[in-house]
Amino acid sequence: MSLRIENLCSADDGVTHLQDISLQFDTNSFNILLGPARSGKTSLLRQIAGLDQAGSGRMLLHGEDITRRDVRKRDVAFVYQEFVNYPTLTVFENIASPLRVRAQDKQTVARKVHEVAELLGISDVLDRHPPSLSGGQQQRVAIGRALAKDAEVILLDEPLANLDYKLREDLRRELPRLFADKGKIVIYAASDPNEAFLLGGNTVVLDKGTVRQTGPAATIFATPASLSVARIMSEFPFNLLDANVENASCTVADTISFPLPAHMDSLSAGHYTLGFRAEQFSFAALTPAAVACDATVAVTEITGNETIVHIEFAGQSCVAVVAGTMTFRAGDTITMYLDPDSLFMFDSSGQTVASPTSSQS
Amino acid sequence: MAQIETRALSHSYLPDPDYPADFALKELDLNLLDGHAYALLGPSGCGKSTLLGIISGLLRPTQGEILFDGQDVTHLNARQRHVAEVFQFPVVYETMSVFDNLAFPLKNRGFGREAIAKRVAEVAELLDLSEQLPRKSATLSAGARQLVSLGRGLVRTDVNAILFDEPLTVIDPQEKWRLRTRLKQLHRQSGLTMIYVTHDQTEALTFADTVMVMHEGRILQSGSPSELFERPKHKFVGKFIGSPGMNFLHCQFDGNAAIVDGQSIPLQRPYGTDIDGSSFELGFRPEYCEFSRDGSGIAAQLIDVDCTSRRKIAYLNAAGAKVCVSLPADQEIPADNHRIRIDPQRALLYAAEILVAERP
Repeated sequence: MSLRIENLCSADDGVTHLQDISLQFDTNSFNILLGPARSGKTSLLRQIAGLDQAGSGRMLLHGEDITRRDVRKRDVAFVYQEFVNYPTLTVFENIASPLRVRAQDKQTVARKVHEVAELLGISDVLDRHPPSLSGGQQQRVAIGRALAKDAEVILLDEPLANLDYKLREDLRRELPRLFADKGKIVIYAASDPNEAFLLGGNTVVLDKGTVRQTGPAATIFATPASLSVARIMSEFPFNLLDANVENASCTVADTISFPLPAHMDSLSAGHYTLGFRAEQFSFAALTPAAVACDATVAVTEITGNETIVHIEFAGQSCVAVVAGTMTFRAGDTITMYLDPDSLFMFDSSGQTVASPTSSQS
Repeated sequence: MAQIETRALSHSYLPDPDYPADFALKELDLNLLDGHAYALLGPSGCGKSTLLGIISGLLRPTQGEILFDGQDVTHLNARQRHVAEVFQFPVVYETMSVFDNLAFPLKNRGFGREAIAKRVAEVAELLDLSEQLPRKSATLSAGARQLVSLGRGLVRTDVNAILFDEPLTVIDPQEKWRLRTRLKQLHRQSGLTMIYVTHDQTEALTFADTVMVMHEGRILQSGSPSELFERPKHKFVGKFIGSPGMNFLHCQFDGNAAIVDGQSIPLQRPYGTDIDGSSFELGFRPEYCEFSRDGSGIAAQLIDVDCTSRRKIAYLNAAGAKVCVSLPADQEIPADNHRIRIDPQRALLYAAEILVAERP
């Protein structure tokens, strides 16, 4: 049992939103659509909901073609980033509304509303109106309506983005549990890679209306298929340096040079892009092969127990993140170390040609 | 440029406020140093936007006064205070070029063509927008449009301070980084007093020299990012700063050690002898505790584990409360017999939700 999307394309006014999307979402699955703004996440959700018409391609729910099916006839619930509720109805009536549409009897409605409210921790505000509630409670009401609707497909479009981050943490932990083992297909759009890790499930990386990679977040993180995926999966800005490979060694802009590590030894001579994450910079040589990089500090940011150092290195802006509180001034020269075993390499078309083996364990 | 002070400032949105709960801001005495970068951090409804509105002149306070460089400005409007403001959503004329957007406030004030060109070029340089000047604003990214909004405030040469009200809300995570770094560089280059309102701890801690944590109309603590992380003065601050926030376990205190669940944790600090003996709690960060591998420590039941790319967060029940342990992603969690060891050097004692002070 599944939702299948085959070669879906959509565009309007000459702007392409989705380009040849083929995906399968199974029943009882939690799926993350991960991508930056305008990558096609919302477009895809709207297609699945039936809010927009596809240009070409098909959508099949349990084998049945639903591509042209009217939005009202699709068994789909949609939770938006903005808290969308009926402001003049009580919380009880908001959650009850999809049940009323189906003309269920009074007792069944009351029982289901209380069940859902209990699950979401909003039983004590059932008599109130949404505008008088906190953002977190308002979004719970919207999620409550989706749960009460008991639709087969549940679409969530960055539902936590407008919440205070402490509320976001709580609700993020609850969400996968709310839908688990209920025979649903949940599709959740996110732009923060940490959400893909924390929510678990299957991740689909979208960029410029195209599916770039699918799989568990940890696998995509360790072996991104391309530079764009590595960037989207990176919590901090992903560092890039122009590199030249020749005679089994790698040189970066006349500043550093190191023998090719094992995972790069099949690379032929030529120009590449070296890529690595902020956490791969360290203040000490952690392995004998570590390469010293002399860099100039641009900006230092302290997050409490970590320091983010923006540096200029080899003519590029790079970011390093290190434990503890470090105070540097802009213009300071510092030496940081990189372990060649931890570096990615991309070819000129942005495809990954080497991923560090250490991160694949 | 200005030093900004408030004296016994309070504000209520009600016509006839009476009880403390009627006030969105409660008796605030602030002294914001000239050229410093501040963040006002707190959950929605804590009063941070009210305070920003009063500083900018959009709101008239119910009581108290506000001073810029010693001058009472309480009754001056926003324009007269010469503050530049950046809001959640960029405020730009979409059909105009970046240049015309930046030039607009100067044209309105009757500046000559050459003076305008010179000043716009200076501000564009400062904001890294020089190459974008001929472009239509509608074609810019959200982050660049935020910079143009900011630039429209900055072209005036008499700016006292820049106020930011959740300026990164509508910006992509990747672009957020660039814009935040840009703002920080701008602070260094311009030397202007900056006040930044946010509910996001990362934004507040990374942006500001001094972060003021607000809750229910009060500033609970004002300090550097590492002070707030290492020594939260109030339980609320400990919980609000950090992801996840600080752990708190009820304990007894014998003047030297905290006793949790029968286990003694030697704090060995110069605490005074006259500490009130009720409702002690031991506060410790998820980063400053670990799984014991030798059978010592506080017994705990493992509930759940979250993994991110860099950390594992274990959620446990221990001594009647929820406790989080944060460990590097590559470290294993013991299979059973979970016990937690708290780093005594970094654990803090709280009485009635307030950090117990040590003697100097």
